[in-house]
Amino acid sequence: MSGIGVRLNKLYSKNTLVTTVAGVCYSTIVTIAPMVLVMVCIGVMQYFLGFNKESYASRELFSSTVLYIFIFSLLTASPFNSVISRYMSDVIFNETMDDIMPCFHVGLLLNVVLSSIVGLPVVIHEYIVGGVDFMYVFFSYAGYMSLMFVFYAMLYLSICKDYSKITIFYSIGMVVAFLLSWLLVKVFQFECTYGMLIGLTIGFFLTACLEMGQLKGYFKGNSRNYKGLLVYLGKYWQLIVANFGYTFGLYAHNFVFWFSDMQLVVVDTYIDAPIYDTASYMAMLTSISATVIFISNVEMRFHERYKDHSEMIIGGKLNDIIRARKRMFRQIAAEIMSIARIQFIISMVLFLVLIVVLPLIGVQGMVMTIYPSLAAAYFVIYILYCALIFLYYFNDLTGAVMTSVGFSVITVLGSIYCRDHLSPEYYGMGVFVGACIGWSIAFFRLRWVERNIERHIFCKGTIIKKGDGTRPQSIVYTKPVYLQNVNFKYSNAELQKYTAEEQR
Amino acid sequence: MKICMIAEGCYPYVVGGVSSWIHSFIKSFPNQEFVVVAIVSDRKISGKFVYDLPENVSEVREVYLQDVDWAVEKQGHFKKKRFRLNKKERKALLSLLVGKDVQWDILFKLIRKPGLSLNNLLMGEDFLDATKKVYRMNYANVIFSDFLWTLRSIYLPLFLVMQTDMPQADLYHCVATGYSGVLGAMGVAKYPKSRLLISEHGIYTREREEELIKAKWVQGVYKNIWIDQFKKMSRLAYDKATTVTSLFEHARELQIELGCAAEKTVVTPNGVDPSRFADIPGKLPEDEKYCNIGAVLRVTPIKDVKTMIRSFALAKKRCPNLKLWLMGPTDEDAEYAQQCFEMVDAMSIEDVVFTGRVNVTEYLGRMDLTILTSISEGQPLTILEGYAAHKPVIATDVGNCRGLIYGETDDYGAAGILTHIMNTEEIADAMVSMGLHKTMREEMGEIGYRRLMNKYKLDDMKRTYYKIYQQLAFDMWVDFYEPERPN
Repeated sequence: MSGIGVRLNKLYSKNTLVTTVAGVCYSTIVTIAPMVLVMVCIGVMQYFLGFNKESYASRELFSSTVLYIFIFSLLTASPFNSVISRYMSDVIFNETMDDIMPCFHVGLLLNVVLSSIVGLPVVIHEYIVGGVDFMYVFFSYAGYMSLMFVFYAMLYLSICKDYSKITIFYSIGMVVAFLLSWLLVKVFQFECTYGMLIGLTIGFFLTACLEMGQLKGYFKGNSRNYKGLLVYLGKYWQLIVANFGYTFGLYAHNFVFWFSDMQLVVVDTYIDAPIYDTASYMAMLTSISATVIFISNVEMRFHERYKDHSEMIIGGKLNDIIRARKRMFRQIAAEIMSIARIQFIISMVLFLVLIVVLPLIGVQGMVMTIYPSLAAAYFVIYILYCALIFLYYFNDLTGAVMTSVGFSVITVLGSIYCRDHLSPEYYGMGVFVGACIGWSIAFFRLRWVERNIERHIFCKGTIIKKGDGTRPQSIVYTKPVYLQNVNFKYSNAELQKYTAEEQR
Repeated sequence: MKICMIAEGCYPYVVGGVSSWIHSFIKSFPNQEFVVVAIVSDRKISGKFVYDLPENVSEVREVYLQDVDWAVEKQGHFKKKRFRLNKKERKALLSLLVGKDVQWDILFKLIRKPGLSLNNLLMGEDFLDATKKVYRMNYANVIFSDFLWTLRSIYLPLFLVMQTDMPQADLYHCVATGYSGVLGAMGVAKYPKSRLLISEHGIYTREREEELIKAKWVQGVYKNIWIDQFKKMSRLAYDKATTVTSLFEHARELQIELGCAAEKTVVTPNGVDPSRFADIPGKLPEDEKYCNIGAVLRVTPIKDVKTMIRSFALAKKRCPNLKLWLMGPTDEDAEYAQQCFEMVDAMSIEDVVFTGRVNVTEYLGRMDLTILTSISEGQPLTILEGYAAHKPVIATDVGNCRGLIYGETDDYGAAGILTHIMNTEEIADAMVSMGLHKTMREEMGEIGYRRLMNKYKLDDMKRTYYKIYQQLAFDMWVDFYEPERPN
């Protein structure tokens, strides 16, 4: 991410309000632009293609399909992609670029297999039990797989700091998606939801193809080292758990409320809770700026301190190492405090604006009742995310696992409790408590890292190879020895005994 | 009595002075059982003996300075990765690193703890904590990570040695301090009724110190850290030993300076059996026109063979009848030996003969004198062997060469010429003097013989050791019997 940092530094260097805003805008574009583009595309499609004129059932089927495509492609991408990211960093560090394409292929295979294991039962069920048209089911599945490809290839491009290309490819994909859906609906008279789904699917697929094409252009060599990534998957299993745990925790409360009285079942397959989902979607938007601000701050300020500390570790005196470590952790505290402060102000403003604006555009009732507690929860979730990023920085994977597992487990249990025992105002309290617990674990773990970072660094590695099996015998020669008979009256021991007796 | 002879980097794998001494020593006590514990560099040379082991050697056990990490138990597994020392062990580890009041007994038990992995110990938190403390005490201005890794690399070979399962014996007899001294101390700690005897040929700590000062692989403060480590090991050996012998008086003084209690020290000069050289063949007809200079040595850098060749080239120009015989193995440092061969060719020096490993008794009689240009020595047996054959010597002023040439306790006169180390011209002059003055060298040869017969006979040495062994056996209440007692 240091690519953004460099540009951000340039943008922020004049330090005026305009440059500050420009800096934030740039980070926003490169980090959340792809998501925004997809949302805008769907919004434009709905507006121009007469989505509202469709039957309620069709609209719900489309909404559920898109919701599932997004949530599950993100969930299935989360376990492997974190390890791939680590593997890629090491490959780039070691300058063994020819290992990237084998890693790409193995990772792709793993993602395809996992996504299929999750996706195929759903679409088969949708087709057989839900009785949905085959073409619709096919394009739903294709859209899901294509989006998974998009996320997968995006990971490689973001490691290469090629954020602008990502945004361009998304833009092309979404423009094509819109034009195609328009063509299908307006010229070929397809049903609106059909046209939108096919358009989106092909748009995602095109984006994925463009990204992969770009990658192939970057990395031409192939070392055929297919084992490398698999070894990393075994070695960094904690990273898999941590990343999946966090992503799962983000959606776990939605899953819980899908089985509440707000539940909506579409074609006997898609279960969701539109009221709760809308509230959580708005809450997420309220706080997402925290991620952007955090990434830019970490890139600009913390990274410097981290580098200073690393340099001291390699070639500094112990006192300098300790001083650099203290400075670095003071910076972490400052970053977290500042992100909490800024995000609190942004969230409060957005919250008040949404409370006023949303009822005016027709969003009201239950959604607005649930929204406040969820807004508070997402505020904590993003602060938790910041702490988690620091744990990753320090390679404290155990801490990351504890944090994300704590977060997701408490979120699930808390949400179940809130769903069954509390009124809608408090539905978001489950995820709020989960995020607070996760944040507390991360906080104490960071404190622990602060105390133990030198041990963490200096006690890593090996100084002597481990022996294979049991220690070989060190006796290399044996022979029985026959000594001459002791042919004299008294042995030394006896002599000593007698001498002692005589003396007495 | 069962004696565990502990040797480092010599017997029975390498031919040389100390190895020969051990070999003849073991043979001198045929009615005692000997177990040899040999410290070697790694497993590559395992079992490759260059000596035929005497009948009374019942076992040879190897200890490797470079090895992989084996769990201590025979069938055991390593304990969990993150393991902590208890308070006592931490204190003992710190005492080792600091080098003050080292609690060796606790460390011996710690390193041999079942399931202990040396990697986990050296890469562990307790070692790091102890390192930090030492660093803050004395070395706060050096780069910490270098300091930490240096300490790890210093203690790895020591801990590998300390993992040795010492055989049971009545007496642990080390031929040096250093790692063998540590093993001897371990034996005594394991079997408290036993005793430790140290017979130093050179002064181990001083030799390592000289090497480290010259070494290029270690720089600055780390030289001192390494030297201190060897001093710690020697102090342990001196502390645990009942008797510490040295070859000559100056060596004894150095031992006392290095921390050995004066009352433990005994001077036991080397000994040569003069009867071995009594009837050796003399000069052959072909030798008559030459003044033969014999160098009985391993062709290695420590013997400074290149200076010897250079000096010979100079001397040969002034005294053409000189002939140099280099008698000894050339395979220990083949590269150096090759350089020596090439040097002789390149300088077109005539009358230089590399014989390889030979039986000295077959050649020594043909020589007119012997020569030794070493840069480090103890009390060279080759000089004494030369004396036994009535041959004078040219030797550099290292170890006890001065004492052997001029005499320490007699007034017989010079038995050869003493030169400075690496001084080509001085050595060449000595060669020329010897070559030109037959009477002088014959007189010197006789003085050498008288000196040998007075103080350096094998029987003298055997008698001294017999007494030491007998006394130690008496103290331990164990039987010590030799059918043929030395006179």
